Amino acid sequence: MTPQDAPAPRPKDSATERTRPPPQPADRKTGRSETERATPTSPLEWVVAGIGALLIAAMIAYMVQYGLREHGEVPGRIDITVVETQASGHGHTVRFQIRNRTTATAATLRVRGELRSGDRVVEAVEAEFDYLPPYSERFGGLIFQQDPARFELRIIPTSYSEP
Amino acid sequence: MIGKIALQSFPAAIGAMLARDQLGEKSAESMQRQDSMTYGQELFLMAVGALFLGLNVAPTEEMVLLSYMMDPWREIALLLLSLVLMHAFVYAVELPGGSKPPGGVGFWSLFLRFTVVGYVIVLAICLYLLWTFGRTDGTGLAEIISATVVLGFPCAIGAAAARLIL
Repeated sequence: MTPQDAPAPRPKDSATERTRPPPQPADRKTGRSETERATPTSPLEWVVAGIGALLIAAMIAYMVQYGLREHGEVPGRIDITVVETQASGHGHTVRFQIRNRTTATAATLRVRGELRSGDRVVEAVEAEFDYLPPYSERFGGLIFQQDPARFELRIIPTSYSEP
Repeated sequence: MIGKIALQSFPAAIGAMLARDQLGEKSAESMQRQDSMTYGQELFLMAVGALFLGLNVAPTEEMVLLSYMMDPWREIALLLLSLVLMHAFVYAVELPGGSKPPGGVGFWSLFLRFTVVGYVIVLAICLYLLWTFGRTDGTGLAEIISATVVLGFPCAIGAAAARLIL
């Protein structure tokens, strides 16, 4: 019994030494709350915010000048250029590009392609585009039974509706 | 076919994440996480929220159709409305999970650092989505901007909601 009692007080002493409050955690606590208060205003965030505000301002400015330019334009200036002609199983496919040079959108735009021999129309086919937005280009194809190389090819827009 | 599944799985994955966050147990850790979120994490959350709503509406024809029908003035109004709603959603309306502006931080500071930057991120994501679905091919700059702003409206709401929910 006595030999066991003797060493007992020693671990108790060391335990109390260990549980003695170290001074560090209190310091760390105040330090953390200071950084939490400081985080909202980092210079990098302000730089990002500035770039963002500039971008949105530029966008609004562009839209305003676009809006001032737009009024009363009719999608009349439509350019059509033939890209290529290929012989296929069902005839000859003429692939073309259609380009809107105005600020108006044309919906259900019809394009008519004619093969002419002098005044006579040999063959006529039509293509339809759902939408042709402002300053945009779309591609389409016209399929002729006759070889377009042997005739005069004319592609013109014929009608559209306003969306 | 695989492409369609891949595209569909993205919003589904975010949806699953949302469900786990909303329906699962709210641990003390997740509550603490919401309080101590860094600036970058907040912006990332907004991007995720914008992607979630954007991926659901961007493939539809209506978004682009709306942008054809709206004139620039209405689009500017929509842009401003998106900004106001995005800000009000998080700060003005007292919803659970809403961020309380820390003391000493002014309205402009919060508006510029979170809402404006968040909206730019939203627009960037809208642009990316439109490009992914081939809406920007051969299309003029004005039309791309207009479609981006129109798609930006639901995405801005998504971004603001993500900050509240996640």
